[in-house]
Amino acid sequence: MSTSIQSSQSYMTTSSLLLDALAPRPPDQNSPTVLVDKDINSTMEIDAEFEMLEQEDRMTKSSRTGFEVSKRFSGAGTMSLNQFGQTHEDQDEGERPTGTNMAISVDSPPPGDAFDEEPEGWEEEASMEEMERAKRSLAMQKPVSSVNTGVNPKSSSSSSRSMSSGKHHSVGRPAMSVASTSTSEFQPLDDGIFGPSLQGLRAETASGSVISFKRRSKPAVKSVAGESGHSSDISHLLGQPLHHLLAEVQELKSRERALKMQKQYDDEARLNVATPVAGSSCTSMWVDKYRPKRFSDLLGDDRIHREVLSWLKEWDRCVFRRANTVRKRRMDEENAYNDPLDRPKDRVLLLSGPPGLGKTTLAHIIARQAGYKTLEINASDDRSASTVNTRIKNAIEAGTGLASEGRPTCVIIDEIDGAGGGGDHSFVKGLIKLIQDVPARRKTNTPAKPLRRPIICICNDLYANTLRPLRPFARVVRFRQAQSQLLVKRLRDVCAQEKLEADLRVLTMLVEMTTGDVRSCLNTLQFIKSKSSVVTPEAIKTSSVGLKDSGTTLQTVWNNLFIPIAAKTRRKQIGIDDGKYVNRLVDDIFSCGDYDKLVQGLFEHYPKLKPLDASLANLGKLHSWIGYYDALSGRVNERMEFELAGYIPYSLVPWYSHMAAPANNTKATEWPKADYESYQTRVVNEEIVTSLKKTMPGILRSLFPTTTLLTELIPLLMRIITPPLRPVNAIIVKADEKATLNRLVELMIPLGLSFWQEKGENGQPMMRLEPPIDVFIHYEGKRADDIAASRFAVRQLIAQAVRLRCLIEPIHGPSADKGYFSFWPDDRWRLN
Amino acid sequence: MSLWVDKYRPRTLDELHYHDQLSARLRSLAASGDFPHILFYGPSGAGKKTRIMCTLRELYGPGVEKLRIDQRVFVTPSNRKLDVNVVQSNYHIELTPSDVGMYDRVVIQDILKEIAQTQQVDLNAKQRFKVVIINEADALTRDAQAALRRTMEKYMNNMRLILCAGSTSKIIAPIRSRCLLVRVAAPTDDEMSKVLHHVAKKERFHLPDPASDAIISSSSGNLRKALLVFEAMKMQRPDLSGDLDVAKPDWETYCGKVADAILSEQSAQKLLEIRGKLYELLSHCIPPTVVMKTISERLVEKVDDEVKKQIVHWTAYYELRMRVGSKKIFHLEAFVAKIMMVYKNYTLMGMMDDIDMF
Repeated sequence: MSTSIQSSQSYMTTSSLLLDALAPRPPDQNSPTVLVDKDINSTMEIDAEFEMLEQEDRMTKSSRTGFEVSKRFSGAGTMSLNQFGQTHEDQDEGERPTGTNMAISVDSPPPGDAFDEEPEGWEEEASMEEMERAKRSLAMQKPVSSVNTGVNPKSSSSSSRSMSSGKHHSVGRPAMSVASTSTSEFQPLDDGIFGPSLQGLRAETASGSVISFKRRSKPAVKSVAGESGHSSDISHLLGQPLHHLLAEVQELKSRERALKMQKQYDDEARLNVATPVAGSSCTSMWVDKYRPKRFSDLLGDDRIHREVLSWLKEWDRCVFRRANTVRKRRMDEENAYNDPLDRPKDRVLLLSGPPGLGKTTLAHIIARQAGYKTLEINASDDRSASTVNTRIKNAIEAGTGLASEGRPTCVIIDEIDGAGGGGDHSFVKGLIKLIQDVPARRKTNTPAKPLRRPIICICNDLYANTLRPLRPFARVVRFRQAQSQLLVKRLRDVCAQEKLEADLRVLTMLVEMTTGDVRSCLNTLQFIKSKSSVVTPEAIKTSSVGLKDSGTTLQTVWNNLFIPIAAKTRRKQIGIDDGKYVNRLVDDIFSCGDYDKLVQGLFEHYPKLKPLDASLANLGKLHSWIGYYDALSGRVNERMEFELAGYIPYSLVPWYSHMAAPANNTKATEWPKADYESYQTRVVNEEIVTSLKKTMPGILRSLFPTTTLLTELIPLLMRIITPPLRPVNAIIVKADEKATLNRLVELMIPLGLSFWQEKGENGQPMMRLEPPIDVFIHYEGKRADDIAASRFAVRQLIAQAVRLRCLIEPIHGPSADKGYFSFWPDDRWRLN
Repeated sequence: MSLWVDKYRPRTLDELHYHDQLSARLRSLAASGDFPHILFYGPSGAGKKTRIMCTLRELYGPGVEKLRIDQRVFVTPSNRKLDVNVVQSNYHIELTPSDVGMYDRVVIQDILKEIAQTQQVDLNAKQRFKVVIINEADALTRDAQAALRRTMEKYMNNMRLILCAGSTSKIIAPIRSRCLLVRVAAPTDDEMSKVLHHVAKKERFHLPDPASDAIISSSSGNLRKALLVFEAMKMQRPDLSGDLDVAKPDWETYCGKVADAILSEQSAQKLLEIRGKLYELLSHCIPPTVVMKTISERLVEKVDDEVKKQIVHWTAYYELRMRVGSKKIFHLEAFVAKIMMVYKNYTLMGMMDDIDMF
């Protein structure tokens, strides 16, 4: 690079890189000075350099390591900082310093530097070269920045000058200028750029360090300033050497030329940038482009469409106050549901089905068809109970206003199964309140405004937990896959319109692969179109983008694990190699995610299947895999070692190798419930034990911890308290029986056991033991043989005796130990 | 008047019927004024708890018998509130980890700190320290045991620990080394019959020898159970004569049924049937380890000697798995299937796995 730095003085304290770059160069007298072009170049690069400095400053964040850059130009000394240009190219243009505080004050130039060393000539070629260079370096930067074509501030009369980068920034970098000008204090002492007293600007960073740099004014101002400079200097013209004046003229000329070139370059750059944007915006997603616009355009099962439409039509009497003559008679016959507002019985429509079948499209089209304006609320909106009150209610109650174009509103709630959050303030709860006409404030007696507009809800998973309360109030419409012939036909039309070659076979394959997901089909086709104009089977196979990562249901995974894919279908299906199942199954299991339920289902189902090996050897292996799974999931769940979670699917794959058989498809895997049922019973029983423990005396509590209480005390206690007594009147019992009865009473009172009369299921009176610890001696609903059936009369006898004893000694009880009764609940001995 | 187990429970060290040497040692420990932390261990129903209570009485006098039940609320780290009933007297407090579940560490820490940081205020108290009894110390989680370590040393002035455990193997070594280990062996048959006859004498009836033998053999060294069985039999059949069938807890009978089912047929269908039985046992709150152990005992009674070794081996193997894992039913069923496989191989082919290989 031919540079003509006559004197460039700079130093900085922090960056050695910049120090290198700014190191004083030996003055090169012989090299031609390209005033204007170089100035463009240099200003650009000064700019860049400052950015760098500021970045540096920002990066180091140390307020003390300030920097000072001072550049002095002697004579026509142009500073070319191409070194910076080169380093600058490495800088990330996107990172723009914004927060540097600069206090810029104009500094009076040191008078020592004269301009007598101005080089004489300059070469056009060199200037062009410089220009190219500038362009290139500009291309690296943002094209916008190239607006600031610097006017060379180094006129012949300048003694020394610093270029104000701050000023420069204010022109070239809008973002920058905001930051700098907002905090900077400009003190322009002299606007006369070409005046004899040229100022360097001294900037002070927030850290207090001083930067001074040469100054340059805007090009627009320049010409005026330049002329005014001329006019003001006109009296001194004679005092100037001719070659200086000539140089000045040349400079002005070349500046004009540079401006022109810059403008041209800018235009080009702008065009280059604009073209691709425009290109991308003109093509829309095919999904939107070919979305059905009318009811007749709809693809899929017509019955479903009609079902939805007829539901919406049922609202007509309520909304539009017109009789639905066609359906009226049939409706009245079908259900004699009479709403005062003539609303249908189910006030909400719940559309459910896998994604991509056109549920949302259908809802919108049908609502429009039926004369409604639609308001869609989807997962992107805030969905809480308050939304129901604000948005939905407002939309519904607005009636026919201007905004609704004279049409009533139909609310479409998309992706409602994703409206999570339980409790009273959930979205679904709010919706139900709205449907049921529950007043917003319970205290007031103002009747709620009844719902007078239809609401359509759309979900993927009909059985999502959040939807459970809504289902009873909704008419559920299940979406099915559209007939694949119809879908293929539609896809072929689309392909024809888009000039994409695709034969029926390929399209059928695509439809099968996406399981009828129209959206996915169209997206895949569009993706292929972006690469080639022919759809080939290979293209479909490889474009895995078309395959959405749909969650697999538990049932599918169970089937996949238990039933091997027949060779025929395996060959037909894509991407499944013979004999290799691990990755396929791991994917399935992983996308299902609910490992716990999955394993439970597998575990509960496998004994129902015919084992592959009569010696039970593979069951043993299977069990060790279950054990392994249990260990893994225990680690993950209890010790939070989530690194292990990735291995869990692999611990389930062996089910396939040990259990999978084609014959298994006769028995569908059932939803696991045995474990949960057992758990529930256990919880109930534990509660019984707890209630027994509460009434037990302290010493017994400490003698029998829960385990021994269950395994030893309760089973034997039940035998102790059911002696073979005869059901006779207490007065005529024999002496030994009386002794037994007494003993029984003495036992039962401190233990807090008692019999209570109750009506059984068949209306017969029965005596129930309280707490009902007799559940612990009933296995499979049967009582052990060695315990005599405790007859009603006997229990009644005992209960009477117990109550009698409690009446006699209500506080101290039969025992001398008061401690037994300190926690005896009062209502125990209340007669019923 | 209460159950015989409680009614004829020895209250002082002098009243204890067996392990006289141990009683003498405990007495001298209590008298020495340098009472250590003690870990009582031994089989269930051997009299650990009785000895603990006797020792406490030796230390503090009859005041320890005045038990009260306090309801305490503990807050877990996850801000859940635990309601725990704590049995305590003026001189001691009892903790049972199984009442608390997985948060035993919190409870242990709270209670120990509280006890340890309060001085004995009763000037008439014989000892300056209070005693904390931890029942089923082997059921303490590792965290809780670790929480005990330092407290045991630090608060020695104000507190002594008495741990009560089935075996020392589940108690971490640091705690074992900080305690005086006291083993309470199960009573011999003679000792048990002595106790039973003592009770019979107090109740003023005659206990025929066949009845006492039947009770003793069925309760296998568990005196507490023996006394309960005794009382149950007495209630069911006051004369205790004739054809005696010893009262047996229902779940034990049921475990016997499971064992029979295992031996009757080895197939997946049977496995399904047995699983139902296992669930039935679990829903009756019988601890899974107890279930496994009991089934294994019943099996061992019924099979050939060669298979016995295998059964015991696999019981141990799957009990460990069950403790490591979290889903009990998986391991119980795996155990049953394994036994089925072993038994089937043995009966059909006379073939045995070499268990040393595993």
